[in-house]
This record gives sequence, structure tokens and C-alpha cells, in this order.
Amino acid sequence: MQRHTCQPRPDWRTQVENIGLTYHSHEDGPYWNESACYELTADEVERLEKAAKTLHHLCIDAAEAVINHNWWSRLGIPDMAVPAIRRSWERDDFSLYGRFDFAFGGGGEPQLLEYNADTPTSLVEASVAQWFWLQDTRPGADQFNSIHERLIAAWQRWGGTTIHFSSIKDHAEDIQTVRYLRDTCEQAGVATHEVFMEDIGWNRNREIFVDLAGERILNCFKLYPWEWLWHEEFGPNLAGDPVQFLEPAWKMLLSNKGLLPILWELFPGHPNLLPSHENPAPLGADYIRKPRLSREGANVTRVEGGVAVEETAGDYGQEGFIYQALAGLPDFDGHHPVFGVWVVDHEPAGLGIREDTGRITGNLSRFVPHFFMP
Amino acid sequence: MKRSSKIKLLLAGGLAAGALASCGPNPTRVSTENVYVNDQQVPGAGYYHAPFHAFFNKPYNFYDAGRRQYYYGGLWGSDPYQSIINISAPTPEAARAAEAARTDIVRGGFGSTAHGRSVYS
Repeated sequence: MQRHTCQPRPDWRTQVENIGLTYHSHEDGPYWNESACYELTADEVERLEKAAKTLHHLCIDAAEAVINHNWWSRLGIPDMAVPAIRRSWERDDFSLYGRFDFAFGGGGEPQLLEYNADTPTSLVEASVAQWFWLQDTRPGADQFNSIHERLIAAWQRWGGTTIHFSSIKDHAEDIQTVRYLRDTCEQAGVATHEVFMEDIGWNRNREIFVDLAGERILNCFKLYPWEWLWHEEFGPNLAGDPVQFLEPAWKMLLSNKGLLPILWELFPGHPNLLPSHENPAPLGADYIRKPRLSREGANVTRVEGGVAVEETAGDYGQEGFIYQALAGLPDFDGHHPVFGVWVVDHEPAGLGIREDTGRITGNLSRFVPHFFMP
Repeated sequence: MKRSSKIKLLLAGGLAAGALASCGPNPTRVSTENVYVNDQQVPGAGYYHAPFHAFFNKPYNFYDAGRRQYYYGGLWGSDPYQSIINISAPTPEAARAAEAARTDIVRGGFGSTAHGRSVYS
């Protein structure tokens, strides 16, 4: 594995904006960073792919254990969500996608940091932007990326005829992610509609959710976390399954970091897992503390020698924490990449790499494209 | 007595399929594709006055004893309004206004946790 310094395409901003990546820059610089790229070997790609496939199934096994043993409190799942999760699991509700985040340095096995199984983002970057970058800059190279085709195929397999797409208002990344997914859905021949989360209506008489036109929402792709939905005003209305959501309710189990200690408990010593526990004692003085439900790398603490050496701010943590062994994140001149392997319809589908100068990947990380030589 | 060509069209066409679906206490979306009977009520929007293709805040031919007048189509008259039209579809403007005024639909129950943040993960 190598990190190369590259000359960005002169018109890269226009190029990426044209394919929907309008959120390409932070306040303090580019988020889409094509002044660098990662070169992997085919063997490394294969290991990432295999790790994602293996772990996806282990996570499903772990979720089944949660259900069978009623370990809801270990994940901080609210009581009112439990019946809906059980029904969703028993129906085997369709799941579109997720993203594993791995620590991986090329040597050894990729190790799971977390599974973003409910509302993963950085999709447009991984699926489309880096693919066009590859065509423009290294047309002879290959990329671990069949996300786009697999999404269309997944929608076709889903088999529904109409679906709403929903995100929060006024946030470009979320809106563009949902629009991209909607595009793939349309290409699969499904009729689509758009409604913002804030605009979803509840018809009190008919006990159904409706869009702004008053049309019933039967199926809905939501880029909005389940754990938020349940705690909001309309949360109790979800109890009767008035809408089939994507991702389905059972994905709450996989997207929860509380699953990491359960995975370690069920599959101790697995090469793709880091030791994880519900208290720090088994890990000694060096570990990462993560809230069960945090996003944006928020409220994560890195402890070394019993001392917090790095900590991110945020307002998560009331739901409890888990403790994970420190991962050996590679260091490329001060850049620490995290390897996000996309899973579409239960199969590994592609890779997106985000890097940060800190060892906690947060919302100011940068997306860096990759390639490998076939 | 007036005769509406629109009613004829509805009776000949989509009435059987459309009208009955929208009658009752829990109407679906108010649209020009649905038909409504006199006094059909949509919470917030009011009572449907079929000859006028719109919703109003009082029942059709409501009698006000103080005024000694009848209410229909937004007006008061000394006699009840006579029409053979007792079922029709709202105009586009009336449908839009009714849908916007509905009080059986509440909104804003999702999205509060985000506080404008991305779900970035």
C-alpha cells in the first residue's frame, strides 16, 4: 500500500460538482482531496473484500444473539423499538447498504473499527467521484468499486414499485446522498418521490404517514438514524409499522457500537475484530472509548497509559460507552487512513478511504481516492 | 335547473372508482382526482359544497336562525341553494387550499434531533 502525492485536475471542483459532490470542501480546505491517492495491491483489495463479507455475516449472527438473548439494554435500544425490530428481523426486511470502517495497513488483516449500517455517508465520493477521477487520471488502473451497479441491481431485487426518499433539509451532503440513491432507484425502474424528514406528516385519523401532497408513504428510504426516529414526537407512531423503511429496523442492531463487545464475546480472537468490552478493565491502560451511538467521530476518547491523549467533542454518550483496543492505524507522513468498505445487498461492493491527521476520524477528515493495478 | 357537463363526465368515468374511495370520515389526499359529496368534511378544510367544487367552513345550505338565511358556496341567501349536483371534484385551487388547511395531518414530528446537523457517519 502506498500513498501518492498527485496533481489535482485543474477543474476538479467543477468535475465533482457536476456529478453531485457539491460538498467537496470544508471551511478549512478540501474534503475531497485528489492531491493524494492510495495505491493498493490486488491482494490487499481481496483481503478488504473478504473481511467485509465475513464480518457482515458475523454481525448478523451477533444481531440474532441479541434478539434471542434479549440483550436490548446492552445496545441501549428503547423498549418501544423492540417489537418493530423483531418483526423486521422475522420478515427479513430488505437492507440496501452499509459501510464497514477498517483499520488496515496493508500487512495483516483489516480490523473492524465500526459498522455504519444504518445511515452511512460518503457514498457519492466512493461510488461516483473517485470512479470518474480514475477514468481521468489513471484509465489503465482498476478500483475496488462496483457500488453503482450493485445499487441498481439491489433496487431491482427489492421489487417495490414506488418509494419516498427522505433526508433533513439544508444539508448538502445528506440531500445529495439521497438524490444519488434516488437516481439509482429510478434507473432500476422504481417510481420515486422526495419528502424531507421535517415535512413528513402523520394523518391522525387514518394513522398513516403522508408526504406534502398528502400521499401515503408506504416505503421510505430515510437518511436519518433509527435511534433518533424512536425518540422524536412521531416515534410512537412507528410501532405499528405504517411504513417500510430502508434501512430496516433490524439494522439498528448492526449500526450500534454496542455490538462490538458482543462480536468479541461471540468470536473471541477473530482476526478481523479488535478486542472490545463494555468496561475498560480487560484492555488495561490503552484503549479507545466510544459512545454506542455517536456520529462524526464525536465523543471518542483515545486513552494511552491510562491518560486521555486525544478526545473529540460532541453531545453523545448518554446511551453508554464501549471500549475497544487501540487499532494500528497506518501513518503516511502524518495521515491516518480509515478504509470504508461498502456493502450493498449483503455483498461487498467497493472502497472509500478517508484520512485524518488525528487518529480519530471525524467530520473534518478528507476523502482520498484509490486505485490498484489489476 | 343547471346541468354540469363535469358531473356527467364524472358519472360516466371515474366516479364509481373514485368517489366511494374518498367518501367517509377519513378522506385521502384532497385532489381534483377525487370526488366529494355535499357536506363531506375534511378536518381543518371544512365542508364540501359540491355545486361550488370547494370546501367551506359551514355545512351546505346551513341555516342561521338569527340571519334567517342559508349558507352555500361562501354566500348567504334567503333560500336554500338548489342544484342537482351533490357530488363533484374540487377545483385545483380548492384542492390545494383544502389540503394545506387540513388539521387531521400534523407535521414536524421527525427531524428535531438533527438540529441542522448532517447524519454523517
